[in-house]
Amino acid sequence: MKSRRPPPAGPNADDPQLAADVHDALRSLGWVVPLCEPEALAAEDAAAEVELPESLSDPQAVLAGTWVTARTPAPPLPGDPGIDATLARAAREAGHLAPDVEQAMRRDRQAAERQREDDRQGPQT
Amino acid sequence: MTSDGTRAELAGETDADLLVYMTMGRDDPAAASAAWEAFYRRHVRYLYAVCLRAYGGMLGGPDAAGDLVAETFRRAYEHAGTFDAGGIADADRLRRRVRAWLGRIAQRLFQSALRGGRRLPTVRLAQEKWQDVAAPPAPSGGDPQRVAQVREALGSLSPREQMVIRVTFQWYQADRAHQRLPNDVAADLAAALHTTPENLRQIRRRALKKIKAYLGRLAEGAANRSEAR
Repeated sequence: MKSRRPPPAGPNADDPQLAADVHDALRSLGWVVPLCEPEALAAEDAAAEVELPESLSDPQAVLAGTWVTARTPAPPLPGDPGIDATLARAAREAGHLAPDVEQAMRRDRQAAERQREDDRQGPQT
Repeated sequence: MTSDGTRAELAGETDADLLVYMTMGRDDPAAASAAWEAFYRRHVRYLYAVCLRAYGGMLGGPDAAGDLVAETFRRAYEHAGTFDAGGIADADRLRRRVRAWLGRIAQRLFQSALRGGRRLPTVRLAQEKWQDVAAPPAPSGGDPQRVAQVREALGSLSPREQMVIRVTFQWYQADRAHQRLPNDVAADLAAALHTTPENLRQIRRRALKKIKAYLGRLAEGAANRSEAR
């Protein structure tokens, strides 16, 4: 005789209507990010009151990822001696990086993140 | 560097056009950069507000919400060509469509962050700073009275029940009857709450049962009042 499997851990399992109601309530509280046009519209007014943190004030810095690397220690990545030397120099010279190095850093970081995500991804997604 | 002239030229472009310019980084880096800047400035406050409110508490606060927003925009830049305007020309509708798209990117990154083992806080959710962010009104889709009742019911749950509900509903999809919380997220959440993944199911089930009972009591009270008249 087969053993009974445990109930699924997702929110819909027992009562789809209740799950939908709870989701609506979470959305109305702003506890779920708006994912469609009407939800985005409903969230717009409240968003206008929020003050942006300094870290998000410069679009070009955000794109380059420099403020993130300045605050968060980067994970060890496969090293390119040229890039390593440039990074060391940049650290000495107050964080100014050549655009090609910034791009390489971004590529490496994304590759590492993708790898990490793939490694962690379980069979039940 | 973005020139003032290019920036001014792009200020009036629609979001869909800005995203197209952003895909042209190789051929016209100045235009791509200016488009990025215009696009970013249009949406960053909105995205930060919704991410702070939805995820700030679970990720660890405003700094982490800022990290998520920055990463969302970088992904949007890299995948600008994948945005589907759906034939919409109206600027307001397009703006909302873009914001929903950004929201979906942020949600994926948030789910990924949870799966990456970021520690989940165990503090009472109601005491967190992100609660100060003004709540958006109820979406037009649900019955506002029902939504308000379920909100009340959510407020009656214990902090750990609220946490379990909030995390599991990040994977909610209306059209799927059976959804599983990814195993690594369940393990991390269980560790944060000093319990086991198996017990999470019980907590979730108990929380939903409490909500249902709460709604039942409200309905019963309403029926009694109606009869008394």
